[in-house]
Amino acid sequence: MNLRTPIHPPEPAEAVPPPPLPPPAPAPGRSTARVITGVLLVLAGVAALLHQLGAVRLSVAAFGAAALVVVGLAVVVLALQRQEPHGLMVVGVVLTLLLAAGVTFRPLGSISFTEGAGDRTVTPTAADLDDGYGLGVGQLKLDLTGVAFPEGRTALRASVGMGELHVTVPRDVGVRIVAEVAMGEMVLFGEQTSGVGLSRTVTTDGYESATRQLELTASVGMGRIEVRFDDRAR
Amino acid sequence: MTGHVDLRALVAGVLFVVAGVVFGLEQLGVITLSAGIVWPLLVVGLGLAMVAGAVRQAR
Repeated sequence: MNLRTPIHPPEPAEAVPPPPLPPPAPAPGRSTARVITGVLLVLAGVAALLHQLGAVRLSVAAFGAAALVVVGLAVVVLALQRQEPHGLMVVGVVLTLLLAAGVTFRPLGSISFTEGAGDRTVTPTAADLDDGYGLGVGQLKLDLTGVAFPEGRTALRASVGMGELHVTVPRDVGVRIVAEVAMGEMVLFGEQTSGVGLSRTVTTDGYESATRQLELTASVGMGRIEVRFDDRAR
Repeated sequence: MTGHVDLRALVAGVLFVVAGVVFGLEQLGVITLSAGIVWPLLVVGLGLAMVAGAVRQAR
């Protein structure tokens, strides 16, 4: 009698796969940055919709400024939480540079390059005085000495995309000049300034008390603005 | 998460908020900005952020 039982080789144990590792938790700073970015995108979309519907009038620069405040607050919060807001800092730097560039080249935004080219001399009178004169490329001479300005304030715009703008104003009115040149120079009543992103406001003596006031907004993209008094009146 | 407050990030965040408020006021017409004002201020801000970064490294 064979008491010996056959020896079966031990069955190999079923391979049990190790439990899957939990996915790595995202870095807290990164998830917060994503939330901020998402909120900014939602706000941008809502603002664009409201703008399109005419509910609010928002400029890109205004939204950029608001976004920069939000990004700055988020960076401060993350820094205080000892998290690394490097991505948001890059966004903040880019926004700041874009807004600064917008200020620098703002005169280009108010200029139409489709207003013709060449040299143009305009000598309006009170009867045919427009509220704006423009030239795309070239030289625009605006002689206002023949205008009998009415009492009160008269607002006038003059712009040249690329070239020169010369304005002659009479001495018997109070004059306020708001001049902007994206790149070039301006000479306002003899005071010269040159460079990039020029913006100056000059008011003649007695402007506030003058019975007749001229407020001239002068813009040149690339080139030169010169505003001077009528020498013939001396 | 780092061990201490990132001073450079803190300064940069405050500067972003200040810049955003200034640009916003300009958009509202409260103040007038020009390139001659903006770019020197940005250089000052960059310098402050660099100083803050150097202080952080020294700690």
